Amino acid sequence: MQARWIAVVAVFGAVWGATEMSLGALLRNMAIPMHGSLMAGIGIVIMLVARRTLTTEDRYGRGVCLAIGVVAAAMLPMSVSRGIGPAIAGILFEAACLEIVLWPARAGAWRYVCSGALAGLSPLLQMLAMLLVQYGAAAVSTFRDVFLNKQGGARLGLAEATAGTVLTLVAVFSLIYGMVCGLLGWSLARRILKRLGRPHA
Amino acid sequence: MVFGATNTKTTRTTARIGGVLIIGAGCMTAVLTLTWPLVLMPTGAAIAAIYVFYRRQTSALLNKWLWLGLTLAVVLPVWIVGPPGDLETPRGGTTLPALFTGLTAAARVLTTVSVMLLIGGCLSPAGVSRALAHICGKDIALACAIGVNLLPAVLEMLRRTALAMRLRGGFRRNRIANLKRLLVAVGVQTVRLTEDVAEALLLAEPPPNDDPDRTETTP
Repeated sequence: MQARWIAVVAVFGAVWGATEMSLGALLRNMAIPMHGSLMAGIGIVIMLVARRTLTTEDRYGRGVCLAIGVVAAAMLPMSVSRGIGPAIAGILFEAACLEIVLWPARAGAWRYVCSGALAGLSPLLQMLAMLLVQYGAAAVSTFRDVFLNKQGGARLGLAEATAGTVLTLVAVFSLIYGMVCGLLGWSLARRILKRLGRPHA
Repeated sequence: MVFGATNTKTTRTTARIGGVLIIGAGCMTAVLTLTWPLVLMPTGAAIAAIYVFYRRQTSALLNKWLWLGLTLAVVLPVWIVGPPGDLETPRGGTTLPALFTGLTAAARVLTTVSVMLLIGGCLSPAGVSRALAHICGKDIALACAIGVNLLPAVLEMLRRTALAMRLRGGFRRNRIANLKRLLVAVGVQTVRLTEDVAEALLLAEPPPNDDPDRTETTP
């Protein structure tokens, strides 16, 4: 039995689950704009720190991100907030995005940044997929309306912007945000390992 | 034979958990989107689900504090807040829209409590781990069960770290540096907690059967 693998998945999954059940539920209930991206950033940092702490010691790092996502998603039904279904789908999708990039080989800083970027894009991709299912070809224009009217985009001076401009801006923001979170996960894990007196690459 | 019975039980538990989660999510989504009088439908569905899946919890719905809260939810919009979207009408008067707002709020509170009772009553950690073992594999199911049981420890760890930060001056000065320190402290404690859990798992693991004279007893 890979005791350490199970322990890392359980503990980091519990940390992310607790964050989703407390802060995530609060943000979802208050309908804070871009709350999905905010929670995705926290998830990216938690998963990447877990991955790096495990990779350096046990070489059992593969599959950790996806397993942590499953544990956090399994805890989400215990939170009383609206929109639990999309949140569970978002967590699993984000974890899968990280795992896809980190799976092939021993991951370095650049791979962490790339995985963070892809996972940062995941809330946007998920929203577009849901709109595509609901509205078909009008998904992008509906996304513009949702972003401007429901998520406060109009207050940012984007009221006259076209759907393409809004989509590009949100995508670029998500990409940069994901990259920053990936880098934060890498450097945070490095600091933690240094504090614990462990070898860190 | 016994294995077949266990498998059937696990399948039934998985189906039950899935059913409860779908009903809970459906009731919550409906109650937050519908208005009076349609809002009564998910409320009734949630109460009926408690009666069907977890009959013992039905008595919890007769709690006097719950009914006090529901009464306040009806009375407050009528007597204090006034009708929705109408700030001109003086408070204290009973209007039909205000009454409907209050009744909708009460129905939402009652549905939320019912769904919480339903999920809390039906989803035991053992049941969830059995269902996950059935779906994803034993390692992840074990991790889920440990994670759920670790939640109080994790919350206590976060609370202690936040308290320590506040005692050192909080975020009033050097916010970025203090945030970094907070994140590193939480990370270090999480990794240490991981080590404790791993040690406990290794202790709980049965020793390998290396004695050639020892034979397995079959039931």
